[in-house]
Amino acid sequence: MHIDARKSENNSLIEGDICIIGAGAAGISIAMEWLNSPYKIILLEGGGFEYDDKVQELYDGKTTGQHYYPLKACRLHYFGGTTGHWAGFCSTLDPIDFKKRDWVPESGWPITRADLDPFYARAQKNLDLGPYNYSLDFWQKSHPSFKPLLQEDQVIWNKIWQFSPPTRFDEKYRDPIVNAKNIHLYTYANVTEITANENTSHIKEVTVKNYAGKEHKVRARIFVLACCAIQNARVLLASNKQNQHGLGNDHDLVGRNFMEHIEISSGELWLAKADSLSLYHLDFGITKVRSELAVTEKMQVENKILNGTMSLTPLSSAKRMKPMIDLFNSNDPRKSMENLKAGDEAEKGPVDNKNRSYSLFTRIEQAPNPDSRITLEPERDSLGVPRGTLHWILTALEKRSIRRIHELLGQQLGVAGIGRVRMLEYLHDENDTSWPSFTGGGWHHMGTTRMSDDPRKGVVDANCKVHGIDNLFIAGSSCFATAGAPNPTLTLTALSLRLSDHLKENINKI
Amino acid sequence: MKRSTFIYYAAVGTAMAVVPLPGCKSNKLSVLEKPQLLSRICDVNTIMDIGKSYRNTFPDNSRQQLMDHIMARTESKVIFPNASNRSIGSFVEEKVKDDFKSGRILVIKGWVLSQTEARQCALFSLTKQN
Repeated sequence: MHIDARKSENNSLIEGDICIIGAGAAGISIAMEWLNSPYKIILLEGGGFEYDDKVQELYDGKTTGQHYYPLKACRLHYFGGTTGHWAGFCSTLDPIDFKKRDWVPESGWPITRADLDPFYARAQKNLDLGPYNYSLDFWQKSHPSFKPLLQEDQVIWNKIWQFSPPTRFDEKYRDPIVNAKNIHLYTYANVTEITANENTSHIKEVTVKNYAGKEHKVRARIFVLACCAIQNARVLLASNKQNQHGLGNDHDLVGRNFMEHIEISSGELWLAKADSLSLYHLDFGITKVRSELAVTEKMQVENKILNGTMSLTPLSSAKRMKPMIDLFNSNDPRKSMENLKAGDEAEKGPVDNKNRSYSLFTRIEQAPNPDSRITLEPERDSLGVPRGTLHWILTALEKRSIRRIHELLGQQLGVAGIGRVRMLEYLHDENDTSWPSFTGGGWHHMGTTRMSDDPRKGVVDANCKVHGIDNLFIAGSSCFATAGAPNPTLTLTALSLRLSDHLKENINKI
Repeated sequence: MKRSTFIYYAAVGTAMAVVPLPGCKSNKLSVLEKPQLLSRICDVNTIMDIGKSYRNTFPDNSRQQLMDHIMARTESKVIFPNASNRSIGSFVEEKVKDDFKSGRILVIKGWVLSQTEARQCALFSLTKQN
């Protein structure tokens, strides 16, 4: 069922069993799990079914610290969320990503990779991916040309990625959601405030507004906040009438530990003998599976480095590419995407099947850092909510890790006697902790309501419930305790399915 | 890639070299100052840059010391003074791999190199300088 909140009678009271705030990958994945159930699900979406600049403008905000993309353009604010322009890169977090690592501050999840495995398998279907298998051996059976650059050993391994078509959630899930009798989708229903009881232990209702001037209240037994990492933090911080620090923020953690994947050109791979390296090849829209080079858990532990991967692009093509940070530079996400696509087109050109030189492009987690954070500005958006500011901070650990990963790859190529690695200039001096102007991110926002069993270290518990509030849950990558190397969509979808199962098991107890 | 240029220059450099390896003919130098794999992927200027950078970092290395280091026996291998160029070449190539296996690695001008091949570059740059 679909209701346009702009057309509802002003000051309506909407009631249901579960209120899901946000209709992106996380919110829709949860809603779909409750399709045709006996429960009334309220799904709130701030935008409509198409891009609307007035709504998109609500995401605008300042950025400070490390240069970043325009906040207004990073996430899409309509039904389907950012799946409206994502690229479909999917892979799982590695077991080490969930572990406590003494060299990574605040690392360690209260769940393991094994806990997520069954949900990863289910999430594959949501995102129209292939079988839940990310081993090279498995994919070599159907792709005999997949020859690894190096025989896998205890240093370098091949991390498999699968590619979603990419699934646009607005296209795939609009009809099932709209046609479901028990799911009440409200578009143009921006949550501007969450109201708790007197001691902020229980959510009573949320307030939704839109630029048509309508205001409504939504009451439910359970609330799931699924608005993306920046907006989740923003609405919690802005809901500060009962607690000046905001909701779920007794330990000053909401908005902190904002993480991105650093995505950056980092080096060159030179081979003594030309090779197509088809295992690592990516042709957007065609490639379903490929690999990136990764460093084993053993080496990460020994070298005390972060987890990251390297993709390979023929150097001749890579030299035609402009840095993403320079392309995705418009406040209008449609324009920024056009710029990116134009950049991709420029990259295309005559490419030999076999190449002797490849560009190395690193994607790597950043360590949780409380100073990398979302805060509120005095300025308010058109619905009266304080705007969010991103202060993005990177540390020496990220840079040292990138450098060390290249050393390890170079070492293994030397042992094999097949080639050499050259790092880009910004990595030459091991004492230089600065970042070059072309440093970019993957538009992956994580960590602002991080997960921990300890309320002093995390905003949500292992079930994504906000510590200290019995009926408020959070879905999405804001719950990630650490970022791993892969793009977050597969993991956040798996985590959302896990949350949904938890709610099914406990709905009558909450 | 300017592999042929490199080989040409190496030959000229050898002709100019006046300090032969003890017990070796002077043309052995061309083997020592030519990092095999690196010379297949880098041009002369790159090898020169690497060599100069190595010598800046380790200024105390004379030509003779560099040659001695390159020819020094390893735990498992030794090269005899009258060995053929081919044998010396194989010995050095193995030594480069051993360096990588053992972690004797240097990062010079961004290149992740074995200690031995870095010394080869240094020797090459010395030859050109002279």
